[in-house]
Amino acid sequence: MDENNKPQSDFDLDAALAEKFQQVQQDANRLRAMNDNTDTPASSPVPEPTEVPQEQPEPETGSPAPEPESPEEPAATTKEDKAAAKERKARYKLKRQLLITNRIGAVVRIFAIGTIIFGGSIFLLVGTRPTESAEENRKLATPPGFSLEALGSGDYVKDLMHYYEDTVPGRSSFKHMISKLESYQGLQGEDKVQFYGNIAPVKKEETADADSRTTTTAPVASGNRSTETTTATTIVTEPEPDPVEIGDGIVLVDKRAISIYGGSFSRGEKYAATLNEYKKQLGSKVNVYSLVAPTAVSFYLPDSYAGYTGSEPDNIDHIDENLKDVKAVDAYAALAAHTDEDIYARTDHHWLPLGAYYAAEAFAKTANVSFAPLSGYTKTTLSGYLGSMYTFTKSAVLQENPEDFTYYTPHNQYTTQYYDTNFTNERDGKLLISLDNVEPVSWYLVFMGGDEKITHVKTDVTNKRTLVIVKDSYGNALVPYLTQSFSDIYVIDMRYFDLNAVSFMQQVGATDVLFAMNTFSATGGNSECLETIRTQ
Amino acid sequence: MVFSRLFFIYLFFPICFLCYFATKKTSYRNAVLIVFSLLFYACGDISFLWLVVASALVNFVLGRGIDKFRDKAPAKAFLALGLVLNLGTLVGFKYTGFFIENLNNWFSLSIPVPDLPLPLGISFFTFRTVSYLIDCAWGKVKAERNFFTFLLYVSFFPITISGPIARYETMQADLHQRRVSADDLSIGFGRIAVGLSKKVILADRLSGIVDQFLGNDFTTQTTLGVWYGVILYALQMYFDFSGYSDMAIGIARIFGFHLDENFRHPFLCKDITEFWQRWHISLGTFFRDYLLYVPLFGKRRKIGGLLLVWFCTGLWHGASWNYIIWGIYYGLFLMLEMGIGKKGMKKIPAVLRHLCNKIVIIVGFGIFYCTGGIDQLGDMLLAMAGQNGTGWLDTMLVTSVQNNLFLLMAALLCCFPLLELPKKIMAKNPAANVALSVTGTVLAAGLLVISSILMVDATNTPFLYTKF
Repeated sequence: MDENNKPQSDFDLDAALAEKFQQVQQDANRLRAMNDNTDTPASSPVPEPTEVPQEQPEPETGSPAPEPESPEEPAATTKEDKAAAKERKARYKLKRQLLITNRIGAVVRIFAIGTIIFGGSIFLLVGTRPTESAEENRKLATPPGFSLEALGSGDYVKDLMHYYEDTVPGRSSFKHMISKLESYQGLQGEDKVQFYGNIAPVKKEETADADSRTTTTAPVASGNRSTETTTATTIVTEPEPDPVEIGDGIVLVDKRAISIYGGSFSRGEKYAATLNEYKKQLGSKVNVYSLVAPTAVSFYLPDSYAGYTGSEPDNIDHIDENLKDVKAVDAYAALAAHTDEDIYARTDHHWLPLGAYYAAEAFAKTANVSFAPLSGYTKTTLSGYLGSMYTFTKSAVLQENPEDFTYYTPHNQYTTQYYDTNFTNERDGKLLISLDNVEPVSWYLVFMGGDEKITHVKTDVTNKRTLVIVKDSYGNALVPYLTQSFSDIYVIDMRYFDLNAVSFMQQVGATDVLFAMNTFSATGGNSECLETIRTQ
Repeated sequence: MVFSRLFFIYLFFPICFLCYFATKKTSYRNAVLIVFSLLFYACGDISFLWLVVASALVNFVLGRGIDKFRDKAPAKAFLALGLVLNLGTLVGFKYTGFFIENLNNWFSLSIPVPDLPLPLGISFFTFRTVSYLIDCAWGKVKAERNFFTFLLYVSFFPITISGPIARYETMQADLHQRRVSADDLSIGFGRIAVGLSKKVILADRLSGIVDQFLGNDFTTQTTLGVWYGVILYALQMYFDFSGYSDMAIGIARIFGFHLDENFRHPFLCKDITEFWQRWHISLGTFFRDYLLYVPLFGKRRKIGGLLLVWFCTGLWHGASWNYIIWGIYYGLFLMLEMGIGKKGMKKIPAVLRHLCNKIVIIVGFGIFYCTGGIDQLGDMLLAMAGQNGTGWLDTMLVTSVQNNLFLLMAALLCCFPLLELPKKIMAKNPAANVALSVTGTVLAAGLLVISSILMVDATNTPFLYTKF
């Protein structure tokens, strides 16, 4: 670091060199004179310079800090004088070389750094700016519209800066470079575990029990449901913290990114209470089901990291215990039996269509409807799936290890209609959309193309049972497998629904209502939407 | 706007550079810098741009008044007025809510707490104007005669929002007459590359780890986990703030201004006194020169002044009790060292001195981190003392060290004066001079490129000291 910042006058290399040259010449003359007449003291033909230039090159440029020269001694007459003159000459030479090399070094540095800054400026100004990011699955910022009001409030400049930085030419390539650079922070090979985001040891939630106190955070990742018993009464000693959302904390292990689960018994109780209200309003003729899907954390997080996640099976059990007349679908057990298959994405937070198949099978059994084996579907596999977990982590390990995305198209006959979220604007849709022009990160959108709509699937099944699925994105993957089980299927997303849900269910003549979502939704913020659409 | 944004490095700065060197006269160049300084401030906080200009105007007039009536009563009145206006503005914006909250708590009052926004950089430019007025009154500098030159001093964009607290005395000569040499440009560009990489490559990477270990409830974190988090927080603060200072000094140098250093490898200190001679030097010297010897405490002014200085140092960092505790904490250790005396300190084995002061400094950063209140601070101290019942070590800590091993090593290495040895070699040998100079340039260019790439992903990571 520069610790010598005293002001200095502008440096003149030529003048300095000229002066040095003059001194060297004088020394040479003196030496010559001594050689000519060693008995007579040599006299200098020109006045002796009394000091060397005061310019001191900066230490940061690697330059020396030459010592100021003392005034010249009288002409050399002895051997010592000769030696001193020689030494002075050598010093002059060294200083001259250092001055030149310093100046060259400075110019090279100015040129190098200047080229990067000004070259970068030109690149950022003239390069083609992307409009969307496939990896992040979002549209990038657009140039802000100018107005005096926006300028005055500072919004225009902020938006301009955001646009400039959000749409860097070659953004995608730079993001990949960042992933690679970040992987050099430490030992981050494919065999190493990595943490992303907010992860902390889970604070154990204690439950009241007259005889014993048990914790609800049982070891997970064993693939087996915990046999630990808990009571229904929860002591809440602190305010309810914000729910943990998918992506808040991620553990990358065995090339799989796993979102850490928070869990909340009290939120689970609210979820169960809301479903109980639905059942009460819909009456005994309508079957109501709750399918809370576990996520990958239940099956793939090594035991040694179990202390950093809440227990999904415990939270699901707790919900099920609080349901009244609502049938619980045991998706956990259905999935736990197939953990050696590709039931969860490694690079995305969703389950894979195969995982949804096993959960749908468990639901069909609970609902007592027929269910087609996998042979009743056309299997389509796409390679290069790099889902949302890559967006969250930007992990080079995930980037270098994309996965396959396999989905199943039912063989039976059905038609699909889409509606707006207020059940208007009916139009033809597709249960499984084409992924030809869809970026790999968005392949999970294959099911109905997303969430912000109401979907009606009319099938060739003749059991006259009408199913309404109230779901988050996990529920989307269930729909294809139920086309051979119900005559009509209506799919609504609890986050994007503008009507009263109970009235809607009654309007479409629902015989069965399935609430299908993952544990993060059931015990997180999304569950509040269930109450909102019930009462709005 | 902050320096570590692509918008600044690749748009604002180059345009400013071109405009600056398109002119030759100092007055024109000053005009360019004023325009860009005001633009820079407006990009960060346009709503208080008026305050910067008003501060410059008021302090310019007061400075002239002090100069005109030097050694007479009106000069003292002008100085007093200046101090009241400057410090009153700072206190008003920064501490009103804090004072009222505490009044409400202590006396069970219900005075409405105003939610005043904090003008960007107010702590820094206020201290600079205060130092100017006091220096005028003490005769250390002559009052500036040209308002626009003074406006440039107050608003100069490299130092307006996050320091260093460069005094008028330091900048006076350069404000009036300066030439930019090749060395200035070379040093300036080098400092920008080094400063930016300290911020983007080190501080921002460390920040993510700090959040993992300190961002949650301390009652769930292991003892070594908290120590690890706090140590990395100390490193993050150092690289963040010294990186900013490097960039500020480098940018100023490119425009011909020679600012004093703000950091000198503080973690190499042998005692706490030395730490504060190496950390945020411009703030330490400000308090030393203008507050330490204020004759408020009579015979006990040494101790009283010291405690006042450290109370103010803490409070300056923010309207929060943890900052005040942090300031007094350091004040007490400095008093202890003063009590032991220099000779006594030298008798303590060097290893022990280093160990003790590092523990004090790390705990100090822990206190500094706990803006969540006294409870959070208590939880953190309990965790550091191994009294929160969560054990010493867990998998997450081991994994984190493993995952970030090279980053941690680089961060620790960069606390040392790595450039000293090459500088010495370069001063003796022209061949080595060329080789090391080229190597330095390649390294600086590489760091700039890597930082720029990382900035594509770091569009909103402000420098920590901008909030103070």
